[in-house]
Amino acid sequence: MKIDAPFIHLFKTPLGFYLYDVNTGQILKIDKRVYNYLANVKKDTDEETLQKINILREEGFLKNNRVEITEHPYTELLPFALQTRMGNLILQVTQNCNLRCEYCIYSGNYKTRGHSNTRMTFDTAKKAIDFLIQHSKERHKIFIGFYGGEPLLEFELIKKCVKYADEMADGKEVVYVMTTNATLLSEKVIDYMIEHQFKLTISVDGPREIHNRSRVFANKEEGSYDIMMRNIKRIKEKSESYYQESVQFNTVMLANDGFSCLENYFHGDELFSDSFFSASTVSSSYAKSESDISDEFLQEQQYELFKSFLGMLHRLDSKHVSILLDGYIGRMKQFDTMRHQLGRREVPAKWHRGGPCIPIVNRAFVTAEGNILPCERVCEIANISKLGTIEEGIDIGKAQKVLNLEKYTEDNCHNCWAYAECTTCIQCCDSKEDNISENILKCCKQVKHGTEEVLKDCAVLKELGYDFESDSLVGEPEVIFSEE
Amino acid sequence: MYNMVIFPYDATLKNTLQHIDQKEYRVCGIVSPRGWGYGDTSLLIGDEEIVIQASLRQVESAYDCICLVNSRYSLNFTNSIMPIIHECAEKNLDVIVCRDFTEQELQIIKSYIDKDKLHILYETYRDIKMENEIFEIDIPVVLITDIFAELNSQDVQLKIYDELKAKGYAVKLVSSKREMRLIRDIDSIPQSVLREYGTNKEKILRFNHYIKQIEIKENPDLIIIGIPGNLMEISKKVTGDFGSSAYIISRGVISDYVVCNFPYFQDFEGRCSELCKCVENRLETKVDACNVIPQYLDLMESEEYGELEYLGLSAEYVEKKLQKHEKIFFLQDKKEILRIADEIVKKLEGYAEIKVM
Repeated sequence: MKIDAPFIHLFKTPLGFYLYDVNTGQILKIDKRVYNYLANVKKDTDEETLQKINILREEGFLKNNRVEITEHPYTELLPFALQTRMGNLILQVTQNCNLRCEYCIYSGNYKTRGHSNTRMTFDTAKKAIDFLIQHSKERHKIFIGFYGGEPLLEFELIKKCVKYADEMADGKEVVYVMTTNATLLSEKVIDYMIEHQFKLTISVDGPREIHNRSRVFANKEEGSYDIMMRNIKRIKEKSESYYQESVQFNTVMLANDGFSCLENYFHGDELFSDSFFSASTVSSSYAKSESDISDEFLQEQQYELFKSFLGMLHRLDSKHVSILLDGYIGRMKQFDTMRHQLGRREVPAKWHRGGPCIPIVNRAFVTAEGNILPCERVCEIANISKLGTIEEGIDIGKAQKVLNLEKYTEDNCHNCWAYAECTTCIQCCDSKEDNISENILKCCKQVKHGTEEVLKDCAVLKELGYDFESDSLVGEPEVIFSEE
Repeated sequence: MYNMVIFPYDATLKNTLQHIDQKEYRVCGIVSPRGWGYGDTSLLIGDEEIVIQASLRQVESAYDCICLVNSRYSLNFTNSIMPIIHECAEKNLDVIVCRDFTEQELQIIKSYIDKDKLHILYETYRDIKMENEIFEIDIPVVLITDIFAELNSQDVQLKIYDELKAKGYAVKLVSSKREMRLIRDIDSIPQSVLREYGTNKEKILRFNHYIKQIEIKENPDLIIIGIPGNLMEISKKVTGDFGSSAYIISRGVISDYVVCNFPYFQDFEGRCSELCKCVENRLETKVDACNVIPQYLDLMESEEYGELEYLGLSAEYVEKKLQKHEKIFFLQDKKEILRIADEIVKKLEGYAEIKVM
């Protein structure tokens, strides 16, 4: 009995065989015979296996439904949301920076603008803040972020913006956010950050020799490590509670340095050991060339991931567990949470894959010139990224186009098993309009690989008794043998 | 008569203010925090166009009273409410309290405002003799409930109330919102039922006795009760009060007609009967009408912030999307208000055919 091609993805781990049912978003454990039949390895099979497959079908799995029409469910609601639900404004207060990090997207190694002296005027900033307040009536909490280059080069402008926003947003909760290289965090600036409870993300790449290799001052090619560390320590000395609650770190990992040395460094320094890190390798979005990731880096990273899993399974003390992998662990937890909440019986006929956020509503990035982009990571010179200006407002048609990015690649996407878990958005697009499909499809392999890793890791952890919802171990861990 | 300024205003209050008892309250000014986005707008109350201001200083008309009301979004008590209280104390103004403060906040207010200047709007009947039994309510009861909280169903309560009154019925509205007490002849659910301590049994009996009191003292043709809170949890993270207020109300009275308000979502008609079943399981009574509110529940944002987040839609958009269905109403449309009022009357009139003495 041949089944119409069900929309599933088969995978195996040392602990068993599984299928990811795309229509319901669930992971199911199956036996080897069912696995082989579904994988078309064995075309004939026994009655018992066919029976099991029928049961799966009766329970609503193994459907062959695919999305037929690409339309993001939020498309018709976007005009309303743009009027009243803007929540997050990021101001590019300057395009200049006092550092010249070699992997920076503005370094000339990416298909976007380079560093420049362009700065945002207070008039533009005021208009952007007014725009946010006028379009956030249905939000009681809004976020205003400051970005660069290095935003603290425009500290006076930032202060004016905060003063203006506090006055104009009276009655709302305003959270101020900033990403900084920390070199300009003087005593006065730190006091100000603490007074206004800024959420800071500080860029630290590792120990002195690694950090200084990339993150050098613009005018003297000297590394920024010592000044940065002095300032970070200052924050902690001034207010331990502020440091714990409001300061986090961003690390760009140069993959030829290895992973363990970074892990050992951050774990070993009490300044960082209790902090939240977002760690990534050098961005490949609209890069002029590919960056390499060494085998050593990957092996070390996998080993640290293994230790993280041992920590989750209560086999290893948390002090030995990586702090650089919180992002991946978080992604696994989110995946598990979402699929339990879904209650989805099948993919809708009209839908959109995962990936794009709701442009402008989730985040609006205003450049120094007053252009409005969906976020600070997109290519600033790409026409698709420019969704409007502070003067003219948002082009709803363009925003809907970005929301429905799948239209460029829908024939590929509709048949992709990673449809619901895709993470590709216009961030991957460079400035060439006719490259959009190609740019998006280039990400597919990585997305599928990453999604499969999440599926496998979730399956293994659950087999070993880990409960994602309560972040605990259920029952005693038992030794589980492979079905082979 | 109080010449009062309303604070803090947002759109959830609009209909209430437009129905305000103008013999007792004259609205001289409306103040809304600048960040809420009501600057440069105005509201017509009676014959007067009142411009919404960002601060008390900007109110030009003479006033002798501040009315503190509930709002969609919270306000910091110390930073936003206390400056108003200080001003009232300095200028010896009356303070009308409709807003739900904590006991501690209320004590602070009482320490600044003289007893005879402070008017906390409670329900009409404060002293109810408590019996240890539940009474039959011998007049029809219409329950209006929200499947999820913050759907501002007081507007729906008012619309149905107005229409039934226009038909000549003596209607009593017991609203879920204290601000509705600013409207003549409208009552609110006793605080002792909703907020004060006590067992569920005590609260149910108290509510039942309150409605019985209304029946005896006022003898209306029917009573409309607005149920506060939410009927259903939205998700594991956004639960509201788990329908506990609705449970108390629905145990205190037997309803004769139930209107349930829903936020708009795609394919509402297709899922309506399934949703009604969930509501009926909760209330243990049939849902007669599903009213669609032009708001869209943003579940992901609600879960992220731990609070209900809605997106307001236009009436035109929702009306275009909704298919005709006998049980589905869209009470933004006047014709639909007439339809629901007719349905209520038709159902309740049937009871009059049998008179048990």
